[in-house]
Amino acid sequence: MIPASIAEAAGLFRARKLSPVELARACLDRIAQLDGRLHAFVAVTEARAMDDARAAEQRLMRGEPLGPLDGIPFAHKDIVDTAGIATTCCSRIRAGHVPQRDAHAAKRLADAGTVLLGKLTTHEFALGGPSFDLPTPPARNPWDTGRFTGGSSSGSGAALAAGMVLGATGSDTMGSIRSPAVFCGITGLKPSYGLVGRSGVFPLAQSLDHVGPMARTAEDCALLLEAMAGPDPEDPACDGRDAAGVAAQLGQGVRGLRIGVIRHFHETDNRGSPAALANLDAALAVFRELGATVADVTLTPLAEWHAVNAVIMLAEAHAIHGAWLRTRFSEYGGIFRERVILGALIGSEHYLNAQRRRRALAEEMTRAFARHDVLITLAQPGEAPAVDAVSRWGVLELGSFAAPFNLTGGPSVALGTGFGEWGMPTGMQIAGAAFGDATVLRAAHAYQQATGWHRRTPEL
Amino acid sequence: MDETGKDAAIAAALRTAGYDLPPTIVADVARGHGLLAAVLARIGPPRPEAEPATTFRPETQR
Repeated sequence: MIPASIAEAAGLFRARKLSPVELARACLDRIAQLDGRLHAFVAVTEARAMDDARAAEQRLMRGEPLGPLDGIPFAHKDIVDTAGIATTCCSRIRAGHVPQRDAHAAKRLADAGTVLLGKLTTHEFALGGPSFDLPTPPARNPWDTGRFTGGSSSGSGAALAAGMVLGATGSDTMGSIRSPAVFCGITGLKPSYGLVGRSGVFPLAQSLDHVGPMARTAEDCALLLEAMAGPDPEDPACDGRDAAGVAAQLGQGVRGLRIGVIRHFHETDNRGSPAALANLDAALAVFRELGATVADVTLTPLAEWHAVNAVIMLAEAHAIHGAWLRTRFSEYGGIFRERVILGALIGSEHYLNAQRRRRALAEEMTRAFARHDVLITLAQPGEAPAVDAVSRWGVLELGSFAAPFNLTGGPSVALGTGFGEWGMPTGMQIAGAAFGDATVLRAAHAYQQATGWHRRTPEL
Repeated sequence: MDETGKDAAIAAALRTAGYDLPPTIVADVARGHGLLAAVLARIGPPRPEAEPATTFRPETQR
């Protein structure tokens, strides 16, 4: 009843084999059936969803759909403002906060006809989690509810893997889209910095924050990106360009694509599990069979990229939260407040040195992209750990495969490569040069068409 | 420096930053600070000839 992808749902709508109202009802029923175990949603907006679905259905019946997203069940991470609907960042600090306006990305998605089913669990303010001392519990991984979803876009990953929605927003400051994409076996795109406007999305660290699409497939991420990208006058970092034509380029394949593999990241700097490494090698073999060239690339060791990302993130996050932390410390969850207060101990010389080093690292990455169209490495070292065994200090443990691409701002898509010893998804990330979003999605789409891991779903 | 002395130093730094926190929380923050110190140590000062991050380019629109 619930299609496997946005593209499939849109096809069924066009063929009059499924209606937006039927699909919205099915998704709401699935949420009611499963969310008591998964905690993907912090709020379900059933009345709004049915209103949106009826409006979409009328447009479709008139033969006037707004586009491929018209009637698609969707939900937003709970740091994304939604007019008239509480947006709490899963924190007591923002309890009861009801925005008057949609975030820029939320408005663009609503204007494209998406059906809003509700708000999704996030780590507190997109950093503090998984936490058990917040107003709502952490999301659980649909593949094994005892395991971590990844984060901070935890509810987005869980809801998509469980088939509760067909699209969701995420945000990514040091992997918060890509980690749940891999651990939950879905697809997540951290777009180029500046491509998707961020006004109305609660910031974590403005020079590293990205808002992007999460879905079941690279094709769906492309469709969502086309709707989300565009000028945002209230985000000074927004480049203003659109993403038109990204989905249309997906079918061009990867013949001749120059793939660089940052092998030392995942084999030496933070060695992946045997299954994650074997599945990545198998993925690279698929790309070779599809006609791409594959060669190793050497960059600065991963720990240095992570260190620079962590220092900038904590300093900028403290700049945002310091006033509240000083006066309302006990209202924050333990993980968030004890991570972010470290930003108070980062001096200006350290912050500026990190920004200087970032510039040099970004130049190094640019040189790598002169020789390669995309770069591939793991997105996580292995399968999802137990939800109660996630390190409190992971942000400082210098193994983030995501950090390099937050620093440079280039696009990176994370997707599944198979399954590991525990029966949980493993994954990779495909990164590109600035505003090379179409290229990374094209590579991901070619891989998914050739393999089909993205079509596997958990038994629930 | 023993743990008590380390925690006292962190508590003092936090007070300077405007935080007066109970010892149990200071101890947790001190653990995190141990990792942070290692992270900061990886990011040394730039070469003297490196362009400072504060360079202002008036011709840049963004």
